[in-house]
Formats: sequence, C-alpha cells, structure tokens
Amino acid sequence: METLVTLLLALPIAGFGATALVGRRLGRQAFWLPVGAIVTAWAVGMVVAFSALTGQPPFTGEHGQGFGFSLYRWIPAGDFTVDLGLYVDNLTAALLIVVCTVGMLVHVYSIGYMEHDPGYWRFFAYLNLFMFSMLLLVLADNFLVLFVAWELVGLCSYLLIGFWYKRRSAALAAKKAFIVNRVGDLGFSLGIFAVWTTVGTLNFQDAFRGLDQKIAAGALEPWMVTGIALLIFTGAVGKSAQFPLHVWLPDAMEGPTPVSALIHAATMVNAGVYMVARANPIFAQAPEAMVVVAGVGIFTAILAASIAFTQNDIKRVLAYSTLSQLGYMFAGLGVGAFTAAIFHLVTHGFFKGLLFLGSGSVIHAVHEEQDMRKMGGLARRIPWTYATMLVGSLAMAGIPPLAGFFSKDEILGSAFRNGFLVVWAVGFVVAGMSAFYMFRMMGLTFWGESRVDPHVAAKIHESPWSMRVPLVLLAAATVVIGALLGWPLEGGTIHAWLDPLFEPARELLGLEHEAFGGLDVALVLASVAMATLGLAGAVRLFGAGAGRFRWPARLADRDALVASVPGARFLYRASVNKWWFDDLYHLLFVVIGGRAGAALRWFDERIVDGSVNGIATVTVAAGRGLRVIQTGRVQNYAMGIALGLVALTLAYLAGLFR
Amino acid sequence: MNGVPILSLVTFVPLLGAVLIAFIPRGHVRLIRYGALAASLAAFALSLAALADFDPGASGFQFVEQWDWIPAFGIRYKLGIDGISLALVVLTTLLTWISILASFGPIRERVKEYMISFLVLEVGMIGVFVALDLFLFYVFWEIVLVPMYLIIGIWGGANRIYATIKFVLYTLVGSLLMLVAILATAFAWQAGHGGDWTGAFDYEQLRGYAFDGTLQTLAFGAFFLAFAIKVPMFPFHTWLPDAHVEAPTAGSVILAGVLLKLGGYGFIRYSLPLFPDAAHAWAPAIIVLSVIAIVYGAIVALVQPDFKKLVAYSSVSHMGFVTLGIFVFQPQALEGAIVQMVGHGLITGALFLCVGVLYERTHDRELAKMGGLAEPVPLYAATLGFFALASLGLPGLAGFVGEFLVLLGTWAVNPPVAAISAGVVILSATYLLWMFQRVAFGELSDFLRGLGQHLTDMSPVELLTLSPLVALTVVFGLFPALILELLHGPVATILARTGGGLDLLGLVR
Amino acid sequence: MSGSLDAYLLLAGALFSIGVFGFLARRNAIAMLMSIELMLNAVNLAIVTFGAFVPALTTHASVIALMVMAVAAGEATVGLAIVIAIFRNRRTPLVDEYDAMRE
Repeated sequence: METLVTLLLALPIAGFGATALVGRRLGRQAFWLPVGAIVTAWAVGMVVAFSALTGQPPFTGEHGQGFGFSLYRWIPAGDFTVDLGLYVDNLTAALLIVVCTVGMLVHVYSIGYMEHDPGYWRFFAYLNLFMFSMLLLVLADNFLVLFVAWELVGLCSYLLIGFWYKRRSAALAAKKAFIVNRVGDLGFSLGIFAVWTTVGTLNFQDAFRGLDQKIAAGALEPWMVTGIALLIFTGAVGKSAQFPLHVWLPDAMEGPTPVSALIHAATMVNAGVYMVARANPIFAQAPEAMVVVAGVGIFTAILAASIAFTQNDIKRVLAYSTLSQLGYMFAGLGVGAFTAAIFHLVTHGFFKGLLFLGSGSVIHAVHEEQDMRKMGGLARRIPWTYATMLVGSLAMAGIPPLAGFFSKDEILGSAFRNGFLVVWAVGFVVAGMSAFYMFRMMGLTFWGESRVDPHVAAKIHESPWSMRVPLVLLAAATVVIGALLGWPLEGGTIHAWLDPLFEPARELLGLEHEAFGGLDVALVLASVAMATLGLAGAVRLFGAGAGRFRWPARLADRDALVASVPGARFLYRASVNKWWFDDLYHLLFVVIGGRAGAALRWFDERIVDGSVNGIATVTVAAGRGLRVIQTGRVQNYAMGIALGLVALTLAYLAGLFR
Repeated sequence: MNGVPILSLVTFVPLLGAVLIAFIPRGHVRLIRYGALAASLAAFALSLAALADFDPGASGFQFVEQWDWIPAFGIRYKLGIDGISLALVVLTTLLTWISILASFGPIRERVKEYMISFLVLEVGMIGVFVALDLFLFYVFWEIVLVPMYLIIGIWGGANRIYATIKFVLYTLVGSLLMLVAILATAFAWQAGHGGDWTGAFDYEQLRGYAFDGTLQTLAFGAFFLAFAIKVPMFPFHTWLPDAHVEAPTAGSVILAGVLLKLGGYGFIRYSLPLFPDAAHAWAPAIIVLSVIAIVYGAIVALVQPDFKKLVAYSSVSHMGFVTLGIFVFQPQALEGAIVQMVGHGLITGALFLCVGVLYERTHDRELAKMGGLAEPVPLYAATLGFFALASLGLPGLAGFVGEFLVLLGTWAVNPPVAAISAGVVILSATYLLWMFQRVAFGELSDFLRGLGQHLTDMSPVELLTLSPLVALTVVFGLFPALILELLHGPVATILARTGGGLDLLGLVR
Repeated sequence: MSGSLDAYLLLAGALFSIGVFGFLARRNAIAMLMSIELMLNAVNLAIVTFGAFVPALTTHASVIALMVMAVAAGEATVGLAIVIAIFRNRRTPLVDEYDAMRE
C-alpha cells in the first residue's frame, strides 16, 4: 500500500517533470505523457480509495482509523520535527475519488480543448503539477504538509489562472487569487503555530489526541481551542473562497475552462471543506467556532446566489454558484453534518465539473465567446453539450434523483434537525435561487432566439470526441452517484463510509442519530418544491416562449424593466456590482495601501536616509569651514610651527608648565 | 584530514589566486578570468572537503588551528568552525565563484583589478566566519570593506561614488565602535586575570567569562551597532538600497548573499554568548526594530519603481526575520534564522543575478518599462518567476523553512509579534508577484520591443550561474535537514550560554 | 678651553634664528633648503658644544653630531631632488606657487 500511495504522488510529479523538460519539443503530441500519468494515477487512486473504503488490509483500524506512513523526516529542528507523512482513511478516499476522476476526465478533455493553444505542453505540465499538489493535500498526515500542498495548489492556481499571461486581466486575476489566498494562509499558518505550541506536534492524529487530553485535563482555556479552530478556518475561508475572501474566485475564471472545472470547482476550492472536516476533532471542541463556520457558509451561499442572478458571463454564473455551493458545504460542517458536507463535496465535484466542462464546450462552439447575451438557441446546434449540461443543471437545482438533490437535502435536513433554523431557512431560500439562476443560464445559452454573432453562427460546431466523452461520463456519474451513495435517505453508503470517522465529534457536539421520519420527508418535499419553483420561474422568464409573458424579449429591455421597480432596483444594482466588494477592497488595499506605501517611501528617503545624509552634510560643511587655513603653502605651515614653538617657549618661561 | 590546515587553506587560497593574478599581464583577460574562477572554485572545493569531513554530532569547534600572533597581548591566529560557520562558509565560496562567473560578461574594464578585489573580498568574508580570535575577526571584518568599496566605486553605476562612500563610512562607524568594545572586553579580561593577557581575545575563553553589567551593556551596544548596520536593521538600512543600485551585478549578489549575513552571524556568534545579560535587556527593543524592518521593508519594496531597489528592500524585510529569530532566544527560531540566512543568500543572490541578466540587455531597471518577457525569453521569465516564488516563501523551496521556523519559535514566545511578522507574507506575495507581472506578463512593452535582436534569452554562462542556485533552492526546501543537522549542536550551546525564555510583555506561556 | 658655554650657545641660537628666518621669509626653494641646513648646523654646533663642556656627554655628542650630519646630507639630497622635480613640473623655484597640497 505504501508503494501505491507513493506511486500516486510520483506519477503526476514525474509527468510534470518530464513535460517541463521535453514537452516543448513534442508539440501537439505533448499530451501523451501527462495524460498517461494521470490516467495511471487515476487507476492507482481508485485501488487505494476502494481498499480503504472496503476495509482491506491495511485499513482495518477501528473508527475509520486510516493507514499512515512517513516518507522521510522533513524538518528536524530540536523538539520540532515534521515528517513528510502520508495518511489514507475513508475521508481521504472520498476525496481521492473526486480528485482522481475529475482530474483524469479534465486531462482528457483538455487534449481537445487546448489543441490550438501555443502553450499546449505548458498547460499539461501545470495540470500535472496541480494534480500532484492536490493529491498531496488530501494525503497529508500533518498540518505542515497540508499547508505545503495548500500553498502549492495555490501556486498552480496562480499559474493556470494566469495561463494566458498576455491578457492583462488574466495576470491581474492570477495575482489577486494568490494574494487573497495568502490572507487565508496567514491565518492557517498562525493556527499551525498555535497547534504546535499547544500540543507540541503537528501530526493530525497525535495533535487531536493531545488536544483532547489537554482539554480533559483542564490545561487549556476554551477560548484557546476556539481561537485555534478559527485561525485554521481562516485558511479554509481563503482557499474555498468564502466571505469575505470570496472575491478571487469569480476573477479566476480568466483561466482556461478546464482549469475552472478542475481547480475552481471540483477540487482545490474544496480543500477548505476537506480541511475543516479533517480537523473535526478541534472544531467539535469549539462549538462557537462551529457557529462561525455555519454562519460564514450560509451567508456566502446567499450572497453568491444573489450575485449569480445577474451575471452575464457564463463562467461567472458558474463561479458564483460554486461559491454558493461551497457555502452550503461549510454550513453543513458548521451544523455538525460532516458526512453530508463531504457528500455534497463529492456530488458537487462531479456536477460542477460537468457544468464547467460543458460551458467550455459552449465557449468552444461559439468561438471563445463567454457572454451569454451573445448566445441563445444553442440547444439544437450542440445537442451533446446541451443534454449533458441539462443533467448538470438539474442536479445542481436539486431535482431528484440526481446527485445534488441527495447531498443538498441532507445538509438542509441536518441544519433543521440540529437546531440551526436560520441556516436552514436561508439554505432553503438559496435552493430556490440556485435553481432559478441555473436555468436562467440554461435559458440564455440554449433556449430562445439565437443572439450569436452572424459570422460566428455559421461556424458553430459540436466539440470533438475527446471533449464529449468526459462530458458524457460526468453526466452519467451525476445521474447515478447521488443515489449510489445517498440512498436510502436515512443513511446511504456514504454514511457507512464516513460516519465512524465523525462519530467522536458528533458525540462531543451532542448530536444524536434520529430515525428518518415524517419530518424529514416534509423537509425534502419542501426543498424539492422550492427548487421546482425557482426552476419554473426561470423557465418561464428565459425559456423559449418568454416573450409571451409580458417579459421583453430583448435583454437590455429586461434590465431596464427590473431597474424601474423601486425596491428591486437597489438589489439589482447590488447584484450586478457584486455588492461592491471589489470596489471596497480596491479602495482599502490598492488606493489607501498605495498611499501608505508612498508615504513610507517618502519617510524612508527624506527622514531616515535624510538624517544619514544630514550627518554627512554637517561633517562636510565643517571641513569646508576649516579648509580656509589650509593654504597649501609650506611656509605658512612652517610659520605655524615656529609660532607654536615661540608660544610654547614663552609659556615655559612664564612658568605655565611648573 | 588530520594535520591539514583546511580552514587556512579555504581562507587563503583565494588570496594566493589574487597574488598570482597580479602577475598576469593585464592584456590576458581570458587568463585572468579563468584564473580567478579557478581560485574561487578551489576554495569552494576545499570548503566542500571541510563539509565532508565535518562531524555534525561533535560539540565545540572543529578543524581548530592556532598560533601565537601578538603574544604580548594574547592575540592569536585562531581558526575553527562549528555548523553555523560551516554553512555560511560554503554559502560564501559558492556565491563567490558564481559571482565571478557572472562577471565574465558585464565586466570588461580593469578586469584584473576587479578579479583581485573579488578574491580578496572572499578572503575577508571567509575569515570572518572562521576566526575565533576577536582581533583576527576584526581584521577580517575590515578587510571585507576595502574590496567592496572598490567594486562599487569603480565598476558601479552612475552614482557609484556617493553610494560606495556611504557604504564604507556607514559600516566603518559601526565597526570602529566594535573595535573599541573588543579592546574593552580584552582589558576587562586582563584586569580580571591579574594582568595576564593570555586569552584576552580568545573567543572560546571569553565566551565563558561573565563580564560585569555596565561593560556588557556598552559593549553589546557597540557590537550591536556594527552588526545592525551590516544586517541592515531599520533604521540603519539606507546605505543598502544605494549600494545595491550602484553596485555591479556580482557585487550585489555578494552584498546580499554574504555581506548581510556577516551581521547576522556576528549577532549569533558574539553578541549573544559574550553579553548574555545585555542581550536579554536589549532584546525587546531589537525585536521591535526587527518587526518594523520586516513590515517596513516590505511596504517600501511595494512602491519601488526600480527593480533592484525592490529586491534590496525585500532584503531588509527578509533579514528582519533573521534578527527576530535570533533575539527571541528560542531554539526553533534561532535555527530558523540561520536557515533563513542561507536561503536568503541563495534566493536574493539569484534575484540580483536575474536583475543583472535583464540589465545586460536593456541597460535599464525601471519596472514600468518592462513587460511581456514571458513570450520572447521564456527561460528567463521562468527563472525569475521561480526565484520570486522562492522569495515569497513558497513551501518546498528554501525560503519557506527559515521563515516558518522563525515565526513558529516567535509564536511560542510571543504570539502577537509572530502574527504581525507573519502578516508580511501577504505583502511579500504582493510586491514579488506584482514585480513578476510587470516584468513577464502582458504584451511586450514598447521599450523592450525597441531592443529587437538584443533581447535574447539567457546565455549558457548565465544559465550556469543560476542553475546551481535553482537546484539548491529546491534541495534545501525539500531537505532542510541538510542544514538543520549542522545547527543543533551550536544552537544548543549558544542558547545554553545565553539562556532562553525571553519574557516579552509577560506573555510567555 | 677658551671662551664660555654661553658664547657658543649664543652663536648656535643666532645661526638657528637666521635659518628660521630664512626658511620662513625666502620664497626660493633652494634658499629654503639652505636655511634648513643652517638650522641643522646650528643644532649640531650646540650638540658639539655640550659635548665639549660636559665630560659625560663627550662620546654621545660626537655620535649624535655625526648622525645629524648624515641626516642632513640625506635631507639635502632628497630635498634637492624633490625641488628639481617640482621645478621641472612648475617651471618656478618660488614656493608660494606650490599649493598643490591645498587640494
């Protein structure tokens, strides 16, 4: 098993190395090595994941105890030592399924999607590096290796968002993503310091055990545990783009679409969710932190959903929907429904990956156009894409029996049952909103009249098979995975896998397993109804016959109509302007920060350096003054000597020296 | 290697090279260049031999050599190394040959004098790290100044005279006070030993002597000034940007890579063990200055329009971590400070080389004029990007480990200080990525387009200078144990002497 | 021994004063060198005088006087060489034109 897990990491990094070295010379054939590496890694990953999930040796520990080993001792510094250690348990396995599968499909998809790009080899090299980092992230057995992988995926995200570096917007978006992530990483690293100073180790299992013991012994103030949990959570907020660090993800859509699918929908952004789930023993000891997690999550969910309403860029709609869905996951974590949150992570990985790849196919079809105002009526032109995206959208809306239905309703149900009624209520509303904006997107893209540029319209074509096959496979997965893992509703396979892992945390939080009853059925029916309502509204407004409902056919007129309603106008403008967060941050950090920097520079040059130069100036001036007596004539000097001698002699005679 | 005076060899092989080069007629430029390279490579090989023979487990100094020099005052020629000095010696010999190689292209005038200066500079730098006699240490310390003065003053940029005089006078102010302090400690020792001068300058002896409080405070202050100016700590840092901007590329590499480390090394080797009480008394103030340097350097770097100044101010910020790590008196932090010195030497040295590569082609360093280099010179852009990422502390590369350990140790002593310093990772990401964006991303700027054929990717020589640094940055990032194993013993010794447990604002656990 | 110590010392003092005056007042470099010789000889005279009047100093005085003569010879040689070198450079023997030390 050690060999397999090591191989899982070695394959993508070898693919990266090989492609980086020789990829340039391979031209259009550059994809063989990296894609081959990832397909193999996928197979290895599946073997590892299913050995863990089915309890094959060496995965025979109690309570979801996994299997871990150390590759080598990374940092030995006195009593601080960190190993490059790897660890696989059922939680890792669940993540491995998503990461490997979506990663593999995205690689295959990219063969076709990136075909005409001059940076073909570079793209695959970065993708492989990303796969390595992401796998390291889920396999890490201690906080520091997790942090390393955390930063490495951030680096890959930076490289891939800025892949088309000539575009200024792409370069800016890449930088923004990295820096905003760093804000979160700062909190995370402080959390790591705090963990080490408190328990003296960074290994997950040891740290959790040590923390439990310290708390049991009363050696730790409750606020300190809450502090640690919140610091770690800051990292998750950054990486998973939760409020208030959500601003980078929509901009990250500047990257190529396969990147958006892989990194910014299915894998990397889930890292925060994974990390909080991994650190569940810490969070379970800090109920206040859990409330914060739930609050941030559900607030992000509704904030992002409200922004998604009015976005016209197809990828941005999906980006905001990702934010919103991630918010759901955090809400799930916060209310103690760890399994449900991971379940949603898995299903969301599949259907959001599908939606992004589908949007890539659309963008490909209409020649790199992302503005939905210049689409419409594409359903007949690209039927494969349409069909698969329809599946994805229905899943996202939460229509049974597709993937999103099972996981989303589990989160909402748990929120209700665990007493987080506000979370439930907001989540309930967001469910309707999600259905609405997803089908607004479907309507604008696929239905109605074509608004495609006539020059482009003639050349619209379905994507090549290398792109269609991943779409179909992901769609198939989206159809079955919900039922496969989530049925029956009172405790599907996913619960059998993950519940033992989270059992101690649930006990600490005092959450009971309640029988699945009428209440749950009512909740499920209610949210399905809500989703259907949103979906129906969108179909009515943006569907084929939208014109019949006194709803202007032209998009500009619709905007004007909404803007004319007094109450809606503010909300509409807020949504279009993303609640002005970008402007606020620009003012705070770019404008004010820039001024502060300029002021400090002035201070440095005038005051600090000025005083140094001032000393020099004074010295020079003093020298210049004394220089008058330096005539350079020997005789003047000699006269000085002689006068001095005379003076000394006189002084001697006068008895001054006695 | 019993009996072979390996340290003397490492130290004086470059001097031998310099003397031999002095006899080569100045027309034989190629011979002079390769001769200098050979001498520096010989020193590098010898330092590696010392490394191979070094026993990290043994306590105390190794390869000790000693002869009487001025017996009347107990001044001896005494050399010896522990893990800390060894790491820095190898860093020095490595960066020296890289710098000499990097000078092949840019330096075309007075090659002979240049190479001699460089080799003499190496003698001084290695000497500082291996000297175990305070007087000898001072001699080497001052030797360093002279060649650097010439290198900046003769082969520097337009404003070189101002910069080099500022550099020399500024550092001289500090080091002269240090000389006074060295004499004061020697006199105190002699007075304490019934007028016997024996051992009055011997580091190992002085280390065990308890100087009285007033002397400690004053002498610590004098040493502090010398080292703080060299590091440089805020507010003594303003010579650095000027010196860097005017120095030739290789001069900047050595300046950032080694000269700044002399200050950090001095703190660790002398200030802490010789004056432990004063160090504790001064520590809070120094920590405050370090934090200011960390934050301040980063903010000022953010708004620099000049590529080289940006890197120079980033040095101020990074070296702030070193002084912070030293003065929290905590093992992880101190080891981190030393790792940070090595990492910073590699990374910032490499960044200056990158600036030099660009300057060779454009004769300009203004960031606003750059842009879009990723397309025409991908190899250069990739290298620059690599070192920018290393400099901002990307885990897995050399810059991360030191910074992390320093912050970890600081957190254990005082969380707020660690939190403020750690916040700088955001700023460093900002200025480095912004720099990288302005240089490499976007469309090719008009200024660069105007260069046409002159805009070539890195030459084989440039590649040869940068590739070892790339490799080592990765190696030390992945296997920091290679350095850390050298440090456990000496760090424990120093902290045992200095005493840990700094109580800052009473916030210790 | 005829004459008194005072007479000899008076003579030496007079010679020395003439030398000082010459050195300070003459503008010609050669004349200044000659004035220096005069001062040296005055000192030498004083030394020899003391040697003659104080028995304990007899040997010492002769040695010192010889020493001074040697130095004077050296001084004259080097000094003259310098003066000639400067003269070649500046085309003048007048010292107030020599103000290079100013810079």
